Amino acid sequence: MRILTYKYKDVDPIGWHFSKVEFDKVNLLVGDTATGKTRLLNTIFNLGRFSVSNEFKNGGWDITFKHNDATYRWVLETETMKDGESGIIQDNIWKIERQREIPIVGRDRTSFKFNGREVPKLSSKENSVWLLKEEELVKPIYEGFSNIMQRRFFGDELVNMTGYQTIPVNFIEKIKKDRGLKRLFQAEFNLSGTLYFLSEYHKDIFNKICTLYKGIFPFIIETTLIDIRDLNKNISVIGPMPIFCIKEKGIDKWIPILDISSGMQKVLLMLTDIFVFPEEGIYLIDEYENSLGINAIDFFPSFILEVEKDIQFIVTSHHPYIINEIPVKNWYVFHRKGTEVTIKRGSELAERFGKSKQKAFIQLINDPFYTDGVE
Amino acid sequence: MNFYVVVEGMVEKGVYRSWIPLVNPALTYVEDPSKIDDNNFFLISGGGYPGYFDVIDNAILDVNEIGVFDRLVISTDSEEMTCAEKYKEIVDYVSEKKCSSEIRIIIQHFCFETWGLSNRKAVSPHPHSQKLREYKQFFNVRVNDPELLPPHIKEGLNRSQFAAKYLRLALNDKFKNLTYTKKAPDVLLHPKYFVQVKNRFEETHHVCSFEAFLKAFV
Repeated sequence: MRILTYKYKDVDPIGWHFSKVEFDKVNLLVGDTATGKTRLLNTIFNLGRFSVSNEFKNGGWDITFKHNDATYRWVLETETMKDGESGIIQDNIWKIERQREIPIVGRDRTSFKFNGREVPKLSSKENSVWLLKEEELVKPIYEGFSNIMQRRFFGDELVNMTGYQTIPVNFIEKIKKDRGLKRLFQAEFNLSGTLYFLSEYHKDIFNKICTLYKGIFPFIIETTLIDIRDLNKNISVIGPMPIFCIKEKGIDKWIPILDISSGMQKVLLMLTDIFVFPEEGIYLIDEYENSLGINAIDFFPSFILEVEKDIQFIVTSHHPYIINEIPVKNWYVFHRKGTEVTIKRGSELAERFGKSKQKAFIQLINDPFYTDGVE
Repeated sequence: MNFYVVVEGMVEKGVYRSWIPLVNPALTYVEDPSKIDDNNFFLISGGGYPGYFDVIDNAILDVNEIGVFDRLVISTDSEEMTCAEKYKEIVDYVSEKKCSSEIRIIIQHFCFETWGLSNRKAVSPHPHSQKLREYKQFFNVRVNDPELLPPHIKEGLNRSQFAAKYLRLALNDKFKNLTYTKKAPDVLLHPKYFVQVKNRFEETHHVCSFEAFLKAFV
């Protein structure tokens, strides 16, 4: 899935409204603190969760996207009633062909039509993509939304992803039958688990990740997966529990993933995510650079710009290096006045910035749209 | 006459934008260097990030390429150096470059807040704040030259940090509900503030480094 245009509004009376934005393959959201970058990422992720996990989320979305060569528009809006209950008040999906919008779903408070036919009244807490996911017309949309992943790279998320986990035997059987990466992506294993399956069933990808990882951190001389029972003879677990380990120059012992720096964990997680991502995925990354040294940051811009897979990146950053290295045309500059968030595309700035030799980041922090980011 | 002005931090960007036309009322600020016409000035700030010399290098490239600037003004803090040492450092640096326009250097000795502290009206003679009273007793900027402000060793502050804290306290004490931050130096933007700094320099020859600012834009 690739988001083409996106517009969002909170539905509570003091909620934020985001102006319509056209997205590219690589999108760098920049702006002062509290201008709404992370919020926007969360709204995209929420729509994904709402669609594929049926987790009700309040909001008003108007999104145009492409999946499997078809283009769709989905307008979804919820409302909180006086009794505090929330429900969907608008849920319309169109397929866009030759600039014409052909209705797939038309739903409001009183009626629900699918492919031109009235559908029995269904729960106003469940959206049409979730309800109709088995239908041929809606299936690709459901699939598209299942390809969204958000990483915050800090707090519990990083701890959970680098923790230890036994590998379910039944999953081994499943992946033996279907080795597609999509199955691994959807399984949402932690890092060591995912790397274990890659090492077993996609050795080339595993080797690529390890080679890249060693290139970013040249002091790593070896990487491997070791079962926890071999690392610590006192531990007894049922089933395999592989742990990703590294060996550093001058240290003659394996260092398990939990004991390496959080910056190095983040890099490994991101590399693995990208290699496991299915084609037409959307990767939402919030402040990747937090707590990272420059050696873990400088590979990032060129890496995402050069990834050959069809992954759409929507990334927030405050880091001068990242901002300088991502072309201005790929920027989205946030500015908030009260609850109205205006997003200016970098292409509007590129021509002006191109006339000065000052670095793009320096020009950005001198631009009043950025410096007066919150009015 | 057109000016390309490089400043170190965001506070100077705001203040210089307000104060330059007070030195030379013919000058108008222009946001886009390619739109410079006549009697304009363009300001770029390094934002306090490392790499200030890169900003100077690129300013020289802009001046040479755009071709409409008559003077490049470089403003910087002397921090822990003497005014002369910092001046020499910048002169040595730019003398290796080829710049098509004249270059003027403003050394804020030892930081912009030193100039801020020279406004006697901004520092109350009878402060409410105990801390400010202590600071005045330690070094009274109303009487002594703020450029001679020493570091506050007891509080672990170097002289720039001390100047910033002193100024913030003074402004908070004088103007209720107002705080001075690098991002919102609003009270300093006022013409009356500039006039007070200028008067202090002219009447007492304190804040000597301010003279370079007064001369750079005429």
